[in-house]
Amino acid sequence: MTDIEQLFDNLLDDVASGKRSPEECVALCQETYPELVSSLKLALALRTAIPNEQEIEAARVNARRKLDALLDQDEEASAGLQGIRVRPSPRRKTRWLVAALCAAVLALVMFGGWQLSTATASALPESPLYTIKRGDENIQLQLAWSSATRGDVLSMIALHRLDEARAEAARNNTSQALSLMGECDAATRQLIGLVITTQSQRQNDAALTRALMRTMQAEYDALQQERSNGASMMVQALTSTMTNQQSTLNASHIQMPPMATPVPVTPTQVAPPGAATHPAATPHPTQQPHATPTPRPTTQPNSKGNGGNSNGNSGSGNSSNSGNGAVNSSSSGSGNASGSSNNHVNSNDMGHGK
Amino acid sequence: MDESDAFLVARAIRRDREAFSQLYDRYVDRIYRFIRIRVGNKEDADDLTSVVFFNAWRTIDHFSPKHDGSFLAWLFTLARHVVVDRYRRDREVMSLDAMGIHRADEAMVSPEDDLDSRLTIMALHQALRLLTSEQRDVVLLRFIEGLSARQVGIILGKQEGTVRGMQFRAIEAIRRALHLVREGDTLD
Repeated sequence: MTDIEQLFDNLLDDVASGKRSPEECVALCQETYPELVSSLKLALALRTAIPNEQEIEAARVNARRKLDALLDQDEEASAGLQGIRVRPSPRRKTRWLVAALCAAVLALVMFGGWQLSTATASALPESPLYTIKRGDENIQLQLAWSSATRGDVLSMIALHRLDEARAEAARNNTSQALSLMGECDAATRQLIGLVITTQSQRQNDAALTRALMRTMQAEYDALQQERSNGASMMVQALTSTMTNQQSTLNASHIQMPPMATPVPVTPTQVAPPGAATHPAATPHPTQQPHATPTPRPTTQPNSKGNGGNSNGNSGSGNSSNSGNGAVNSSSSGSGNASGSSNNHVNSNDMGHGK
Repeated sequence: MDESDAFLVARAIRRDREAFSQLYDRYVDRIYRFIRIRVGNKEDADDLTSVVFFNAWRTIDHFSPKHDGSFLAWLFTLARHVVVDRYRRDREVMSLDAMGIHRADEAMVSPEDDLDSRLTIMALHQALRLLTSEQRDVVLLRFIEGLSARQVGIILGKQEGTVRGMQFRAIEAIRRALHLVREGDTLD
């Protein structure tokens, strides 16, 4: 501020605080800055520029009447002043219109995207949408920075290939089905590799293990269904795939948690996920050692506490399975039905063979 | 904020109309004067004053300490917005009005206005129209309403120092504008 502006400001403050009277300020101004006098006088006089008392009184009443009308109108509209609204201005209306339009377009795009996504999810290799499906998978895989997310994506890809292989097999498109099973196996093996790496680095692998369990469980369920359907080609392919995967897991000492859902099994089948069959496989902390088979009373409705077989011959030869609850095609113990009487093994009991 | 203002505002936030009515009685004169000088028309000033208080009632829960705890300063902010909004909406009417000071004067002065009112309010209104928007606000809030530089800064969204720097230029501008208006009156 210039000197004159500063003086002007000081004098205004002096008057406002009562330090000097307006007359004193004007007198001081005449001594120091005569050119400021008229401006100061005007500034001080403006306070008196008020409408006359009659006008003010009338305005007070008129404005009050109008305000009361507005409040009453609003009160009626919003029932107790809870949601007071004023009529939106044309500009606000336009904004609402634009917002509504944008929302509609967005909803349309999202709906279209959802429809496309639904359509591509079931697309088979001969479908024009199949390229989109595979492209989407690749993008998801590229964008999966964390191992957990990558595991989920690999699991999803494996399951897609599995479904596609089964669909192609159902259409007697054997070569395509086998090719897709190969891709399913490749994705699952990538997932297994990820689990091995993560475990070797002693990192948290819970999410990856869940993804692997989910994948192998699906393969196992598919095997059961294909078996019941009498689809020998798929049974053979799945058995081979799962056996190899299981071997890899066992060779790598991968610990798999017990399955969460009951899995129907019959003799001469591959073990369900979580059933480590390799002797060297590290047992689950809650699992019993392979060499010390123990009865599994909870898995045998008719066992009456006599362990893992129906004839009460507990642990007489099925040591490879009774400890971890898995029924394996190799588990043919002497004098033991080896699961022939317990076609349904509760997966929750797996690894809890007390 | 004045203790009783704070109490009344707190009650008004809880939708106590009686409390709000007391706030209205307390500040309606100053809000009316601010608007009256800005719009130069009694009827419009009545309307806009009621709108300011209606908006205050609707949004009183938005009243914040940002306004230096002054409910009056907040009301002036609302009043300023209401006047600007009215000018914007009535731009065509205003542009006709702005064609000549004397034509506007004729339209605004009603027979019941007394001479003093016409000389002060009308002259001031016309002179203010010759100022920039910021100068107009500074003159109204700082000199006519007597608010502190800090309060004016809060209402205008400017630093206190900026307002102090602006006020001298604003008073000089209104002085020149009033001189022009008086010359016009004399010529008539």
